[in-house]
Amino acid sequence: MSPDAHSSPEPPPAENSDVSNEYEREPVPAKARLGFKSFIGQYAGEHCAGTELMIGPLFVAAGVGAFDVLAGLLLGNLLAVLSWRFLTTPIATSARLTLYYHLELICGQKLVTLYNVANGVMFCFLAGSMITVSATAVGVWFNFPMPGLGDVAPNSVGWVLAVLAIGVLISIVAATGYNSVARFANLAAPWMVLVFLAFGLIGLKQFITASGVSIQGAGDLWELCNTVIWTGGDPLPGQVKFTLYHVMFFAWFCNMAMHVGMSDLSVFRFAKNNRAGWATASGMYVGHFMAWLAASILYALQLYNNPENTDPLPGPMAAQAAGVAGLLCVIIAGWTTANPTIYRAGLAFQAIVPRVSRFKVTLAAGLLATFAGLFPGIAMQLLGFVALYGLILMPMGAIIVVDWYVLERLGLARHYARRAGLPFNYAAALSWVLTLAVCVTLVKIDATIAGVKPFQIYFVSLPGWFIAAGLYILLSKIMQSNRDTLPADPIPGDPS
Amino acid sequence: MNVIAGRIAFFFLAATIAPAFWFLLSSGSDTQLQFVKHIMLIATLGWFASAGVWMYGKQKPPTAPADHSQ
Repeated sequence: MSPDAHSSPEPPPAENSDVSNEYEREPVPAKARLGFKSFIGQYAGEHCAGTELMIGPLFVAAGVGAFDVLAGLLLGNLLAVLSWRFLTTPIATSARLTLYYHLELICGQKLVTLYNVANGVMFCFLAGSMITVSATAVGVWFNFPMPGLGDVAPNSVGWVLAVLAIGVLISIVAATGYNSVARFANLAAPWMVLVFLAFGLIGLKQFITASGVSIQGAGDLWELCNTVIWTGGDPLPGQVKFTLYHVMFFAWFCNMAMHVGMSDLSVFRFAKNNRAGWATASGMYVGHFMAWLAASILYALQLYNNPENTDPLPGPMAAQAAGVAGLLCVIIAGWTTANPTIYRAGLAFQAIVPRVSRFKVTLAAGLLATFAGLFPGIAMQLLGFVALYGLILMPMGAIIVVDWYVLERLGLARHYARRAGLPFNYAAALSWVLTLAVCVTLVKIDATIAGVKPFQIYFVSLPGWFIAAGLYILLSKIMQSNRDTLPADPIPGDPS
Repeated sequence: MNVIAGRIAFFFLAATIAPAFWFLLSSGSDTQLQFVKHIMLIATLGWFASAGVWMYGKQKPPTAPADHSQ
Protein backbone atom coordinates (compact mmCIF):
# COMPACT_ATOMS: atom_id res chain seq x y z
CA MET A 1 0.00 0.00 0.00
CA SER A 2 1.56 2.03 -0.28
CA PRO A 3 -0.83 1.41 2.44
CA ASP A 4 -2.65 -0.33 -0.36
CA ALA A 5 -5.66 -2.31 0.54
CA HIS A 6 -3.75 -4.42 2.90
CA SER A 7 -4.62 -4.10 6.51
CA SER A 8 -6.71 -5.52 9.21
CA PRO A 9 -9.49 -6.11 9.72
CA GLU A 10 -9.31 -8.53 6.84
CA PRO A 11 -12.39 -8.89 4.70
CA PRO A 12 -13.70 -12.39 4.22
CA PRO A 13 -11.74 -14.38 1.68
CA ALA A 14 -13.53 -15.06 -1.59
CA GLU A 15 -13.49 -18.74 -0.94
CA ASN A 16 -13.60 -20.59 2.28
CA SER A 17 -15.54 -17.79 3.93
CA ASP A 18 -16.74 -20.17 6.62
CA VAL A 19 -13.29 -19.81 8.17
CA SER A 20 -13.60 -16.07 8.47
CA ASN A 21 -15.68 -15.92 11.60
CA GLU A 22 -13.54 -18.29 13.63
CA TYR A 23 -11.00 -17.70 16.36
CA GLU A 24 -11.88 -14.06 16.87
CA ARG A 25 -11.59 -14.29 20.64
CA GLU A 26 -9.31 -17.28 21.05
CA PRO A 27 -5.86 -18.33 19.82
CA VAL A 28 -5.82 -19.94 16.36
CA PRO A 29 -5.49 -23.71 16.83
CA ALA A 30 -2.85 -25.81 15.04
CA LYS A 31 -5.36 -27.32 12.58
CA ALA A 32 -6.15 -23.88 11.09
CA ARG A 33 -2.59 -22.78 10.50
CA LEU A 34 -1.26 -21.97 7.04
CA GLY A 35 2.11 -22.41 5.37
CA PHE A 36 4.51 -19.90 3.88
CA LYS A 37 3.05 -20.07 0.36
CA SER A 38 -0.39 -18.92 1.50
CA PHE A 39 1.06 -15.55 2.42
CA ILE A 40 3.20 -14.96 -0.70
CA GLY A 41 0.29 -14.56 -3.12
CA GLN A 42 -1.76 -12.59 -0.63
CA TYR A 43 0.95 -9.97 -0.10
CA ALA A 44 2.05 -9.80 -3.76
CA GLY A 45 -1.53 -9.16 -4.90
CA GLU A 46 -2.55 -6.72 -2.21
CA HIS A 47 0.47 -4.47 -2.57
CA CYS A 48 -0.05 -3.91 -6.30
CA ALA A 49 -2.81 -1.35 -5.86
CA GLY A 50 -4.16 1.73 -7.57
CA THR A 51 -2.24 4.02 -5.25
CA GLU A 52 1.10 2.67 -6.57
CA LEU A 53 0.30 4.64 -9.73
CA MET A 54 0.29 7.86 -7.68
CA ILE A 55 3.24 7.18 -5.39
CA GLY A 56 5.81 6.50 -8.16
CA PRO A 57 5.06 9.80 -9.97
CA LEU A 58 5.10 11.74 -6.70
CA PHE A 59 8.69 10.54 -6.12
CA VAL A 60 9.64 12.18 -9.43
CA ALA A 61 7.68 15.32 -8.51
CA ALA A 62 9.70 15.37 -5.28
CA GLY A 63 12.91 15.67 -7.32
CA VAL A 64 14.38 12.30 -6.41
CA GLY A 65 17.67 11.14 -7.97
CA ALA A 66 18.30 7.70 -9.53
CA PHE A 67 20.59 6.36 -6.80
CA ASP A 68 18.33 7.75 -4.08
CA VAL A 69 15.18 6.12 -5.43
CA LEU A 70 16.74 2.74 -6.21
CA ALA A 71 18.84 2.40 -3.04
CA GLY A 72 16.11 3.98 -0.90
CA LEU A 73 13.49 1.54 -2.12
CA LEU A 74 15.78 -1.47 -1.76
CA LEU A 75 16.71 -0.55 1.82
CA GLY A 76 13.31 0.76 2.91
CA ASN A 77 11.47 -2.31 1.66
CA LEU A 78 14.06 -4.51 3.37
CA LEU A 79 13.41 -2.68 6.65
CA ALA A 80 9.67 -3.16 6.15
CA VAL A 81 10.12 -6.90 5.60
CA LEU A 82 12.38 -7.13 8.67
CA SER A 83 9.76 -5.26 10.72
CA TRP A 84 7.10 -7.78 9.73
CA ARG A 85 9.43 -10.72 10.31
CA PHE A 86 10.94 -9.69 13.65
CA LEU A 87 8.26 -7.48 15.24
CA THR A 88 4.85 -8.60 14.00
CA THR A 89 5.23 -12.29 13.23
CA PRO A 90 6.83 -13.45 16.53
CA ILE A 91 4.01 -11.91 18.58
CA ALA A 92 1.38 -13.13 16.11
CA THR A 93 2.59 -16.73 16.18
CA SER A 94 2.98 -16.73 19.97
CA ALA A 95 -0.30 -15.08 20.99
CA ARG A 96 -2.27 -16.10 17.85
CA LEU A 97 -4.87 -13.41 18.53
CA THR A 98 -6.45 -10.78 16.30
CA LEU A 99 -5.14 -7.26 16.70
CA TYR A 100 -8.46 -6.17 18.13
CA TYR A 101 -8.69 -8.88 20.75
CA HIS A 102 -5.04 -8.34 21.66
CA LEU A 103 -5.65 -4.59 22.03
CA GLU A 104 -8.79 -5.27 24.05
CA LEU A 105 -6.75 -7.28 26.56
CA ILE A 106 -4.32 -4.39 26.95
CA CYS A 107 -6.43 -1.28 26.39
CA GLY A 108 -10.02 -2.21 27.18
CA GLN A 109 -13.00 -2.33 24.86
CA LYS A 110 -13.78 1.40 24.85
CA LEU A 111 -10.27 2.41 23.84
CA VAL A 112 -10.33 -0.19 21.08
CA THR A 113 -13.52 1.46 19.82
CA LEU A 114 -11.65 4.76 19.58
CA TYR A 115 -8.88 2.99 17.71
CA ASN A 116 -11.52 1.64 15.31
CA VAL A 117 -12.79 5.15 14.60
CA ALA A 118 -9.27 6.36 13.76
CA ASN A 119 -8.68 3.27 11.62
CA GLY A 120 -12.04 3.58 9.82
CA VAL A 121 -11.55 7.26 8.98
CA MET A 122 -8.07 6.61 7.60
CA PHE A 123 -9.42 3.71 5.52
CA CYS A 124 -12.06 6.03 4.04
CA PHE A 125 -9.48 8.62 2.99
CA LEU A 126 -7.29 5.89 1.53
CA ALA A 127 -10.21 4.42 -0.43
CA GLY A 128 -11.01 7.96 -1.56
CA SER A 129 -7.57 8.31 -3.14
CA MET A 130 -8.10 4.97 -4.92
CA ILE A 131 -11.39 6.27 -6.33
CA THR A 132 -9.50 9.40 -7.45
CA VAL A 133 -7.00 7.20 -9.30
CA SER A 134 -9.78 5.29 -11.09
CA ALA A 135 -11.53 8.53 -12.05
CA THR A 136 -8.43 9.72 -13.93
CA ALA A 137 -8.92 6.80 -16.34
CA VAL A 138 -12.56 7.74 -16.92
CA GLY A 139 -11.34 11.26 -17.73
CA VAL A 140 -9.33 9.94 -20.68
CA TRP A 141 -12.50 8.49 -22.25
CA PHE A 142 -14.79 11.46 -21.56
CA ASN A 143 -12.12 14.13 -21.91
CA PHE A 144 -13.21 16.42 -19.08
CA PRO A 145 -10.73 18.71 -17.28
CA MET A 146 -8.86 16.80 -14.59
CA PRO A 147 -7.13 18.11 -11.46
CA GLY A 148 -3.49 19.11 -11.47
CA LEU A 149 -0.64 18.53 -9.04
CA GLY A 150 -1.48 21.56 -6.91
CA ASP A 151 -5.27 21.15 -6.90
CA VAL A 152 -7.02 20.44 -3.63
CA ALA A 153 -10.67 20.82 -4.64
CA PRO A 154 -12.51 19.37 -7.67
CA ASN A 155 -12.07 21.52 -10.77
CA SER A 156 -14.81 20.40 -13.16
CA VAL A 157 -18.34 19.02 -13.22
CA GLY A 158 -17.10 16.08 -15.26
CA TRP A 159 -14.60 15.20 -12.53
CA VAL A 160 -17.27 15.34 -9.82
CA LEU A 161 -19.63 13.14 -11.86
CA ALA A 162 -16.88 10.60 -12.62
CA VAL A 163 -15.84 10.30 -8.96
CA LEU A 164 -19.47 10.07 -7.81
CA ALA A 165 -20.28 7.39 -10.39
CA ILE A 166 -17.24 5.26 -9.52
CA GLY A 167 -17.51 5.86 -5.77
CA VAL A 168 -21.21 5.06 -5.50
CA LEU A 169 -20.76 1.95 -7.65
CA ILE A 170 -17.84 0.73 -5.53
CA SER A 171 -19.75 1.49 -2.32
CA ILE A 172 -22.83 -0.47 -3.40
CA VAL A 173 -20.68 -3.41 -4.51
CA ALA A 174 -18.68 -3.34 -1.25
CA ALA A 175 -21.91 -3.33 0.74
CA THR A 176 -23.68 -6.05 -1.23
CA GLY A 177 -21.39 -8.25 -3.25
CA TYR A 178 -18.03 -8.21 -1.57
CA ASN A 179 -17.13 -11.80 -2.40
CA SER A 180 -17.67 -11.51 -6.14
CA VAL A 181 -15.29 -8.53 -6.31
CA ALA A 182 -12.77 -10.40 -4.17
CA ARG A 183 -12.90 -13.27 -6.69
CA PHE A 184 -12.45 -10.80 -9.53
CA ALA A 185 -9.50 -9.23 -7.65
CA ASN A 186 -7.86 -12.67 -7.42
CA LEU A 187 -8.34 -13.03 -11.15
CA ALA A 188 -6.94 -9.59 -11.92
CA ALA A 189 -3.90 -9.71 -9.60
CA PRO A 190 -1.37 -11.55 -11.82
CA TRP A 191 -2.50 -9.59 -14.89
CA MET A 192 -2.16 -6.28 -13.04
CA VAL A 193 1.40 -7.09 -11.94
CA LEU A 194 2.37 -7.76 -15.56
CA VAL A 195 0.67 -4.59 -16.84
CA PHE A 196 2.60 -2.58 -14.23
CA LEU A 197 5.80 -4.23 -15.51
CA ALA A 198 4.75 -3.41 -19.08
CA PHE A 199 4.33 0.26 -18.08
CA GLY A 200 7.95 0.31 -16.97
CA LEU A 201 9.36 -1.50 -20.01
CA ILE A 202 7.41 0.57 -22.54
CA GLY A 203 8.19 3.80 -20.70
CA LEU A 204 11.89 2.91 -20.62
CA LYS A 205 11.97 2.25 -24.37
CA GLN A 206 10.15 5.52 -25.04
CA PHE A 207 12.75 7.30 -22.94
CA ILE A 208 15.56 5.67 -24.94
CA THR A 209 13.88 6.71 -28.19
CA ALA A 210 13.03 10.25 -27.08
CA SER A 211 16.46 10.98 -25.61
CA GLY A 212 18.38 9.36 -28.46
CA VAL A 213 20.66 7.61 -25.96
CA SER A 214 22.31 4.45 -27.25
CA ILE A 215 22.19 1.61 -24.71
CA GLN A 216 25.15 -0.74 -25.16
CA GLY A 217 25.37 -2.00 -21.61
CA ALA A 218 24.53 -1.51 -17.95
CA GLY A 219 26.67 1.65 -17.77
CA ASP A 220 24.62 3.33 -20.50
CA LEU A 221 21.38 2.32 -18.81
CA TRP A 222 22.56 3.77 -15.51
CA GLU A 223 23.55 6.97 -17.30
CA LEU A 224 20.04 7.19 -18.79
CA CYS A 225 18.43 6.66 -15.36
CA ASN A 226 20.72 9.18 -13.71
CA THR A 227 20.64 11.99 -16.26
CA VAL A 228 17.27 11.62 -17.98
CA ILE A 229 14.74 9.68 -15.86
CA TRP A 230 15.41 10.38 -12.16
CA THR A 231 17.48 13.52 -12.51
CA GLY A 232 17.22 14.82 -8.96
CA GLY A 233 17.22 18.58 -8.61
CA ASP A 234 14.51 20.77 -7.18
CA PRO A 235 11.06 19.34 -6.48
CA LEU A 236 8.00 20.62 -8.31
CA PRO A 237 6.13 23.49 -6.59
CA GLY A 238 4.27 22.36 -3.47
CA GLN A 239 6.29 19.14 -3.09
CA VAL A 240 8.93 18.29 -0.47
CA LYS A 241 12.43 17.48 -1.78
CA PHE A 242 13.07 13.73 -1.45
CA THR A 243 16.53 12.35 -0.67
CA LEU A 244 17.65 8.75 -0.16
CA TYR A 245 16.51 8.97 3.47
CA HIS A 246 13.04 10.20 2.49
CA VAL A 247 12.58 7.34 0.04
CA MET A 248 13.95 4.78 2.48
CA PHE A 249 11.80 5.92 5.39
CA PHE A 250 8.74 6.27 3.17
CA ALA A 251 9.14 2.71 1.85
CA TRP A 252 9.67 1.44 5.40
CA PHE A 253 6.83 3.34 7.03
CA CYS A 254 4.17 3.42 4.31
CA ASN A 255 2.80 0.16 5.74
CA MET A 256 3.74 1.12 9.27
CA ALA A 257 0.22 0.53 10.56
CA MET A 258 0.50 -3.07 9.43
CA HIS A 259 3.97 -4.09 10.68
CA VAL A 260 5.17 -1.76 13.45
CA GLY A 261 1.56 -0.81 14.16
CA MET A 262 0.73 -4.55 14.47
CA SER A 263 -2.43 -4.65 12.31
CA ASP A 264 -1.06 -7.77 10.66
CA LEU A 265 -1.19 -9.72 13.90
CA SER A 266 -4.62 -10.65 12.54
CA VAL A 267 -3.05 -12.10 9.39
CA PHE A 268 0.02 -13.85 10.83
CA ARG A 269 -1.85 -15.47 13.73
CA PHE A 270 -2.60 -18.14 11.10
CA ALA A 271 1.08 -18.66 10.19
CA LYS A 272 2.60 -22.04 11.03
CA ASN A 273 5.86 -20.38 12.04
CA ASN A 274 7.75 -17.10 11.96
CA ARG A 275 9.16 -17.83 8.51
CA ALA A 276 5.86 -16.56 7.09
CA GLY A 277 7.02 -13.03 7.83
CA TRP A 278 9.49 -13.26 4.94
CA ALA A 279 6.52 -13.67 2.54
CA THR A 280 5.89 -9.94 2.82
CA ALA A 281 8.94 -9.46 0.57
CA SER A 282 6.74 -10.49 -2.37
CA GLY A 283 4.47 -7.50 -1.79
CA MET A 284 7.30 -5.09 -1.12
CA TYR A 285 9.50 -5.90 -4.09
CA VAL A 286 6.67 -6.40 -6.61
CA GLY A 287 4.35 -3.58 -5.53
CA HIS A 288 6.60 -1.16 -3.70
CA PHE A 289 9.67 -1.54 -5.89
CA MET A 290 8.79 -2.62 -9.42
CA ALA A 291 5.36 -0.93 -9.59
CA TRP A 292 6.54 2.34 -8.02
CA LEU A 293 9.53 2.51 -10.38
CA ALA A 294 7.37 1.70 -13.42
CA ALA A 295 4.83 4.38 -12.53
CA SER A 296 7.58 6.90 -11.86
CA ILE A 297 9.10 6.19 -15.31
CA LEU A 298 5.76 7.03 -16.95
CA TYR A 299 5.55 10.36 -15.12
CA ALA A 300 9.20 11.22 -15.79
CA LEU A 301 8.56 10.53 -19.48
CA GLN A 302 5.56 12.86 -19.44
CA LEU A 303 7.71 15.61 -17.90
CA TYR A 304 10.52 14.93 -20.38
CA ASN A 305 8.16 15.28 -23.35
CA ASN A 306 6.34 18.30 -21.91
CA PRO A 307 7.84 19.95 -18.81
CA GLU A 308 4.68 22.08 -18.49
CA ASN A 309 2.50 19.00 -17.96
CA THR A 310 3.14 18.29 -14.27
CA ASP A 311 -0.19 16.56 -13.58
CA PRO A 312 0.48 13.08 -12.12
CA LEU A 313 -2.67 11.51 -13.55
CA PRO A 314 -2.44 7.71 -13.78
CA GLY A 315 -5.17 7.45 -16.45
CA PRO A 316 -3.52 9.51 -19.19
CA MET A 317 -0.07 8.09 -18.38
CA ALA A 318 -1.31 4.50 -18.55
CA ALA A 319 -3.21 5.17 -21.79
CA GLN A 320 -0.13 6.68 -23.37
CA ALA A 321 1.96 3.60 -22.53
CA ALA A 322 -0.45 0.69 -22.88
CA GLY A 323 -3.66 2.01 -24.45
CA VAL A 324 -7.00 0.59 -23.38
CA ALA A 325 -5.33 -2.25 -21.45
CA GLY A 326 -3.52 0.39 -19.39
CA LEU A 327 -6.75 2.28 -18.71
CA LEU A 328 -8.46 -0.93 -17.65
CA CYS A 329 -5.53 -1.60 -15.31
CA VAL A 330 -5.95 1.82 -13.67
CA ILE A 331 -9.69 1.34 -13.16
CA ILE A 332 -9.40 -2.24 -11.95
CA ALA A 333 -6.42 -1.48 -9.67
CA GLY A 334 -8.38 1.34 -8.03
CA TRP A 335 -11.63 -0.59 -7.85
CA THR A 336 -10.35 -3.93 -6.54
CA THR A 337 -8.34 -2.24 -3.79
CA ALA A 338 -10.90 0.43 -2.83
CA ASN A 339 -13.51 -2.30 -2.43
CA PRO A 340 -11.88 -4.18 0.50
CA THR A 341 -10.72 -0.89 2.01
CA ILE A 342 -14.31 0.38 2.17
CA TYR A 343 -15.42 -2.98 3.50
CA ARG A 344 -12.78 -2.74 6.26
CA ALA A 345 -13.82 0.81 7.08
CA GLY A 346 -17.40 -0.46 7.40
CA LEU A 347 -16.26 -3.19 9.78
CA ALA A 348 -14.35 -0.66 11.87
CA PHE A 349 -17.33 1.68 12.10
CA GLN A 350 -19.72 -1.15 12.87
CA ALA A 351 -17.89 -1.69 16.14
CA ILE A 352 -19.22 1.74 17.17
CA VAL A 353 -22.80 1.16 16.01
CA PRO A 354 -23.24 -2.63 16.25
CA ARG A 355 -27.03 -2.44 15.89
CA VAL A 356 -26.89 -0.87 12.43
CA SER A 357 -26.63 -3.43 9.62
CA ARG A 358 -23.28 -4.00 7.97
CA PHE A 359 -24.84 -3.04 4.62
CA LYS A 360 -25.77 0.44 5.83
CA VAL A 361 -22.50 1.05 7.64
CA THR A 362 -20.41 -0.10 4.65
CA LEU A 363 -22.50 2.03 2.30
CA ALA A 364 -22.00 5.05 4.57
CA ALA A 365 -18.25 4.38 4.71
CA GLY A 366 -18.20 4.13 0.92
CA LEU A 367 -20.01 7.43 0.52
CA LEU A 368 -17.56 9.07 2.92
CA ALA A 369 -14.70 7.64 0.82
CA THR A 370 -16.40 8.93 -2.34
CA PHE A 371 -16.66 12.40 -0.81
CA ALA A 372 -12.96 12.24 0.07
CA GLY A 373 -12.21 11.08 -3.49
CA LEU A 374 -13.76 14.26 -4.88
CA PHE A 375 -10.85 16.18 -3.40
CA PRO A 376 -7.72 15.39 -5.42
CA GLY A 377 -5.60 17.08 -2.75
CA ILE A 378 -5.49 13.77 -0.83
CA ALA A 379 -4.12 11.81 -3.80
CA MET A 380 -1.79 14.64 -4.85
CA GLN A 381 -0.34 14.75 -1.32
CA LEU A 382 -0.45 10.97 -0.92
CA LEU A 383 3.14 10.71 0.32
CA GLY A 384 2.38 12.91 3.31
CA PHE A 385 -1.02 11.29 3.93
CA VAL A 386 0.46 7.78 3.97
CA ALA A 387 3.12 8.89 6.47
CA LEU A 388 0.41 10.44 8.66
CA TYR A 389 -1.67 7.25 8.45
CA GLY A 390 1.24 5.20 9.80
CA LEU A 391 2.00 7.75 12.50
CA ILE A 392 -1.55 7.78 13.88
CA LEU A 393 -1.77 4.00 14.30
CA MET A 394 1.89 3.34 15.24
CA PRO A 395 1.69 4.05 19.02
CA MET A 396 -0.66 1.11 19.55
CA GLY A 397 1.96 -1.16 17.98
CA ALA A 398 4.59 0.14 20.39
CA ILE A 399 2.21 -0.50 23.30
CA ILE A 400 1.66 -4.11 22.17
CA VAL A 401 5.42 -4.75 21.88
CA VAL A 402 6.13 -3.25 25.30
CA ASP A 403 3.23 -5.13 26.85
CA TRP A 404 4.42 -8.41 25.34
CA TYR A 405 8.17 -8.22 25.90
CA VAL A 406 8.92 -5.66 28.60
CA LEU A 407 6.25 -5.15 31.27
CA GLU A 408 6.62 -8.46 33.12
CA ARG A 409 10.40 -8.05 33.19
CA LEU A 410 9.84 -4.76 35.03
CA GLY A 411 7.44 -6.35 37.50
CA LEU A 412 4.38 -4.88 35.77
CA ALA A 413 1.27 -6.67 34.50
CA ARG A 414 0.65 -7.70 30.90
CA HIS A 415 -2.88 -7.50 29.46
CA TYR A 416 -3.73 -5.04 32.19
CA ALA A 417 -7.21 -3.97 31.06
CA ARG A 418 -8.52 -7.54 30.99
CA ARG A 419 -6.94 -8.52 34.29
CA ALA A 420 -8.01 -5.34 36.10
CA GLY A 421 -11.46 -5.37 34.47
CA LEU A 422 -10.94 -1.93 32.88
CA PRO A 423 -12.97 -0.83 29.84
CA PHE A 424 -10.48 1.98 29.21
CA ASN A 425 -6.77 1.76 30.03
CA TYR A 426 -5.69 5.36 30.63
CA ALA A 427 -1.99 4.44 30.49
CA ALA A 428 -2.44 3.21 26.89
CA ALA A 429 -4.75 6.08 25.90
CA LEU A 430 -2.42 8.74 27.28
CA SER A 431 0.60 7.07 25.65
CA TRP A 432 -1.22 7.16 22.30
CA VAL A 433 -2.43 10.77 22.55
CA LEU A 434 0.77 12.20 24.07
CA THR A 435 2.93 10.46 21.47
CA LEU A 436 0.84 11.94 18.66
CA ALA A 437 0.94 15.37 20.34
CA VAL A 438 4.74 15.25 20.65
CA CYS A 439 5.19 14.01 17.07
CA VAL A 440 2.84 16.61 15.59
CA THR A 441 4.64 19.32 17.58
CA LEU A 442 8.01 18.10 16.30
CA VAL A 443 6.69 18.15 12.72
CA LYS A 444 5.27 21.65 13.18
CA ILE A 445 8.52 22.98 14.69
CA ASP A 446 10.41 21.39 11.76
CA ALA A 447 13.76 21.91 13.46
CA THR A 448 16.99 21.78 11.47
CA ILE A 449 19.87 19.95 13.15
CA ALA A 450 23.29 20.04 11.47
CA GLY A 451 21.66 20.94 8.17
CA VAL A 452 19.07 18.17 8.17
CA LYS A 453 15.40 18.17 9.16
CA PRO A 454 15.02 14.99 11.22
CA PHE A 455 11.43 15.60 12.32
CA GLN A 456 9.61 15.76 8.99
CA ILE A 457 6.42 13.69 8.83
CA TYR A 458 8.34 10.97 6.96
CA PHE A 459 10.82 10.42 9.81
CA VAL A 460 9.04 11.37 13.00
CA SER A 461 7.44 7.95 13.52
CA LEU A 462 10.83 6.46 14.40
CA PRO A 463 11.42 8.59 17.52
CA GLY A 464 7.64 8.45 18.02
CA TRP A 465 7.77 4.67 18.51
CA PHE A 466 10.30 5.01 21.33
CA ILE A 467 8.32 7.87 22.88
CA ALA A 468 5.18 5.71 22.89
CA ALA A 469 7.05 2.74 24.35
CA GLY A 470 8.67 4.86 27.09
CA LEU A 471 5.43 6.60 27.96
CA TYR A 472 3.52 3.32 28.26
CA ILE A 473 6.13 1.88 30.64
CA LEU A 474 6.16 5.06 32.73
CA LEU A 475 2.39 5.45 32.88
CA SER A 476 1.87 1.75 33.58
CA LYS A 477 4.26 2.04 36.52
CA ILE A 478 2.20 4.94 37.87
CA MET A 479 -1.24 3.47 37.18
CA GLN A 480 -0.72 -0.23 37.98
CA SER A 481 -0.92 0.29 41.73
CA ASN A 482 -3.04 -2.86 42.15
CA ARG A 483 -0.80 -5.14 40.09
CA ASP A 484 -0.05 -7.54 42.95
CA THR A 485 -3.73 -8.38 43.39
CA LEU A 486 -4.55 -9.05 39.73
CA PRO A 487 -5.79 -12.44 38.52
CA ALA A 488 -3.58 -14.60 36.28
CA ASP A 489 -2.87 -13.59 32.69
CA PRO A 490 -5.66 -15.01 30.46
CA ILE A 491 -3.28 -15.49 27.51
CA PRO A 492 0.10 -16.55 28.91
CA GLY A 493 1.84 -16.81 25.53
CA ASP A 494 5.56 -17.10 25.13
CA PRO A 495 7.35 -13.76 25.10
CA SER A 496 10.78 -15.37 24.94
CA MET B 1 -12.07 -28.35 -19.56
CA ASN B 2 -10.39 -26.61 -16.65
CA VAL B 3 -6.95 -27.81 -17.68
CA ILE B 4 -7.43 -26.44 -21.19
CA ALA B 5 -8.82 -23.15 -19.86
CA GLY B 6 -5.84 -22.90 -17.50
CA ARG B 7 -3.35 -23.38 -20.33
CA ILE B 8 -5.14 -20.83 -22.51
CA ALA B 9 -5.19 -18.41 -19.56
CA PHE B 10 -1.44 -18.70 -19.07
CA PHE B 11 -0.92 -18.17 -22.79
CA PHE B 12 -2.87 -14.90 -22.59
CA LEU B 13 -1.04 -13.88 -19.42
CA ALA B 14 2.27 -14.34 -21.23
CA ALA B 15 0.83 -12.44 -24.20
CA THR B 16 0.14 -9.47 -21.91
CA ILE B 17 3.79 -8.90 -21.10
CA ALA B 18 5.53 -10.33 -24.20
CA PRO B 19 4.72 -7.30 -26.43
CA ALA B 20 6.34 -4.97 -23.89
CA PHE B 21 9.60 -6.96 -24.04
CA TRP B 22 9.39 -7.03 -27.83
CA PHE B 23 8.87 -3.24 -27.85
CA LEU B 24 11.91 -2.78 -25.63
CA LEU B 25 14.04 -4.59 -28.23
CA SER B 26 12.38 -2.97 -31.25
CA SER B 27 13.12 0.41 -32.80
CA GLY B 28 10.38 1.93 -30.62
CA SER B 29 8.32 3.57 -33.36
CA ASP B 30 4.76 4.82 -32.87
CA THR B 31 3.44 2.11 -35.18
CA GLN B 32 5.10 -0.55 -33.06
CA LEU B 33 3.65 1.01 -29.91
CA GLN B 34 0.15 0.95 -31.40
CA PHE B 35 0.66 -2.73 -32.27
CA VAL B 36 1.77 -3.42 -28.67
CA LYS B 37 -1.34 -1.69 -27.30
CA HIS B 38 -3.64 -3.79 -29.51
CA ILE B 39 -1.95 -7.05 -28.53
CA MET B 40 -2.09 -6.11 -24.83
CA LEU B 41 -5.82 -5.40 -25.09
CA ILE B 42 -6.52 -8.70 -26.86
CA ALA B 43 -4.39 -10.55 -24.29
CA THR B 44 -6.22 -8.77 -21.46
CA LEU B 45 -9.63 -9.80 -22.74
CA GLY B 46 -8.36 -13.32 -23.38
CA TRP B 47 -6.93 -13.56 -19.85
CA PHE B 48 -10.11 -12.52 -18.11
CA ALA B 49 -12.28 -14.81 -20.23
CA SER B 50 -10.11 -17.92 -19.97
CA ALA B 51 -8.90 -17.38 -16.41
CA GLY B 52 -12.50 -16.76 -15.36
CA VAL B 53 -13.52 -20.14 -16.72
CA TRP B 54 -10.44 -21.75 -15.19
CA MET B 55 -10.66 -20.22 -11.72
CA TYR B 56 -14.40 -20.59 -11.29
CA GLY B 57 -14.18 -24.20 -12.37
CA LYS B 58 -11.63 -25.39 -9.88
CA GLN B 59 -11.50 -25.71 -6.13
CA LYS B 60 -8.92 -23.22 -4.95
CA PRO B 61 -6.73 -23.75 -1.91
CA PRO B 62 -7.67 -21.52 1.04
CA THR B 63 -5.97 -18.17 1.42
CA ALA B 64 -4.98 -16.68 4.77
CA PRO B 65 -8.25 -16.37 6.64
CA ALA B 66 -9.69 -13.21 7.96
CA ASP B 67 -10.16 -11.12 11.04
CA HIS B 68 -13.71 -10.35 12.00
CA SER B 69 -13.02 -9.54 15.57
CA GLN B 70 -15.05 -6.39 15.44
